[in-house]
Amino acid sequence: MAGIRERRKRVFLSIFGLLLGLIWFFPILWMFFSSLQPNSELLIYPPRIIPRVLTSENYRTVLFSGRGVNVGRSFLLSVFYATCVTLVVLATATPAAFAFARMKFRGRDIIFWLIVATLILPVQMFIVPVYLLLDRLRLLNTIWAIILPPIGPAFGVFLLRQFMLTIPDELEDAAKIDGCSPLRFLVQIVVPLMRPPLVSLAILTFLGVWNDLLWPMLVITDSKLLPLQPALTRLRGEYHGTFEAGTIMAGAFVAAIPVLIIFALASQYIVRAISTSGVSR
Amino acid sequence: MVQSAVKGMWEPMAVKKKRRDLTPFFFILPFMVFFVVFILIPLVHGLILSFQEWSLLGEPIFVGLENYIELLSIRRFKAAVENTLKFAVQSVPLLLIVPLLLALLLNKKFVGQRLAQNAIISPFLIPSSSVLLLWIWMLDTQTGMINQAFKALGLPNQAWLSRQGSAMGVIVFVTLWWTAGYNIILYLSSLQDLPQDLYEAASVDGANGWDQFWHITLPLLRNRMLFITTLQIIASFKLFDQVYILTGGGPAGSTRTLAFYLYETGFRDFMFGRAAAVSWYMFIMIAIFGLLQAKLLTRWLGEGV
Repeated sequence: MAGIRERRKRVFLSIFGLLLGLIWFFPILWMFFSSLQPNSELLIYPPRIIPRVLTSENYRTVLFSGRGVNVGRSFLLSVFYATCVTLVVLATATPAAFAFARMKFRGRDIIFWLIVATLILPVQMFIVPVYLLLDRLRLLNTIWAIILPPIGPAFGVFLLRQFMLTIPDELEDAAKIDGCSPLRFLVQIVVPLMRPPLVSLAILTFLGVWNDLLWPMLVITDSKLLPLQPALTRLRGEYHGTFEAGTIMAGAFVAAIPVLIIFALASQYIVRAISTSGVSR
Repeated sequence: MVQSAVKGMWEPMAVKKKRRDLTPFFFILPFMVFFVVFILIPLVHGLILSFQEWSLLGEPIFVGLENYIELLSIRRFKAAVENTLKFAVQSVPLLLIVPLLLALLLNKKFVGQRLAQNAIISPFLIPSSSVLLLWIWMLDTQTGMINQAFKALGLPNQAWLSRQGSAMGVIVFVTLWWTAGYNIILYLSSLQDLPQDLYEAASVDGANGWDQFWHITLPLLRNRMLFITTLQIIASFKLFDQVYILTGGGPAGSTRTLAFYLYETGFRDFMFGRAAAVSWYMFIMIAIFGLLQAKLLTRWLGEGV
């Protein structure tokens, strides 16, 4: 008896859960289906959820011709920007976190907590002064305006240090007895052990740059250097007046798809990064 | 606690005590350069700026607290504070409770759980411009999916984003749909850490599901809920993308938030000093609310335990 009731409950849960998932995800499916239809089809009532006419025209417009907005180019630029920032963040945060976690030097704790304290400051506090700084350095409207500032925040150092504190002392002792230098110990022993937090940090950093809208919008006006997010808002400006929804949705989907692929491939890293650190957005 | 966990190995050797070991400084140097240039100096510069009057032309003039005082009498600023609080009051409870309910559902075992979980969580990763352009399309007055559905039900079309009564509500709704996944992840990781034997013991004692939720799950989730509340309050003060893309601050300034006002002041009107003062007001408000809510929520939830 209990078995049947239990099974019924499971079936109900499955139906309810999947239905809710479908409803929740529906807008994203609609973004995709809209992008595959000619713009004129989208003005028809009742709307066709399953496209009647399929076309790749919207994607061709967005990726290759586009009125003054080249989404294809901006896509590649965004990949470039996000990759650069991620690599430099990993390269600078790892040794710094190692020093803060495993070395002793004067002022270490004061410097570390000063760094961590800045994490609670809202990003808005930095926008105006960093903008003016880049202006003075004549770096506005260059790739450096996007790549350099995101390396400053302390998030990576904080995250990695927490993990490096857990490395057993015995490992360090053994390495030291074998005459291993700190740098070699870091590169050959610590980094392999730190793979999960390093991957988490890499993903969060990459997504942070990929998803950023405000900052690139402020510092880049040259459309040749424009990353994807501000390019999309320009795309809307170009196509909204004539209401070519399919074209706009093609652009939106191009920006969404890499992130959805990363989530499909590495969801456990993303989940772990968020649940252990809880700070990213 | 942290002190005792840190045991440095590579301290300067006793013999060479006089010669300072520079290794740690080389390790932190690359990061510190970026930290000082892009965090520390701008922070100090921002504070100085907030005491100055300066647009791109001419030299900055020291004006003391004038920016701060002036702001208090600017209607747009006061409205922006009000709108930001309005958004916080509406969005924080929703983003605290809805993700909790969804996480409780997704924490159960059922066929297709994984699929449902990914479908509900994944939107939070999608960039703001994609998500918001999608919702502009969904909410379009004439041909948007939502108004098409209204039409099918015989209801009148709604201009969701250009009516004062609904624009902020739409921003709250879209934000909930978009970012719930983040909080669901936080809740799920806590739920999976809950001690199962407590529930077994409770079942033996005849406690039903509701009792178990109210007396075991909720108290144990207290810290997580506090944490999420803090995150959401900070996020409310930073609300920008939704306003910029969906409404541009309108209609009639009803969705102009602090972050959006800062953007307009700094980068449309080029009043850098005033914009810097706005950012310090933001910081002060976040700090006050952070402390206040931590106290209140601790007391409120403390009674349940």
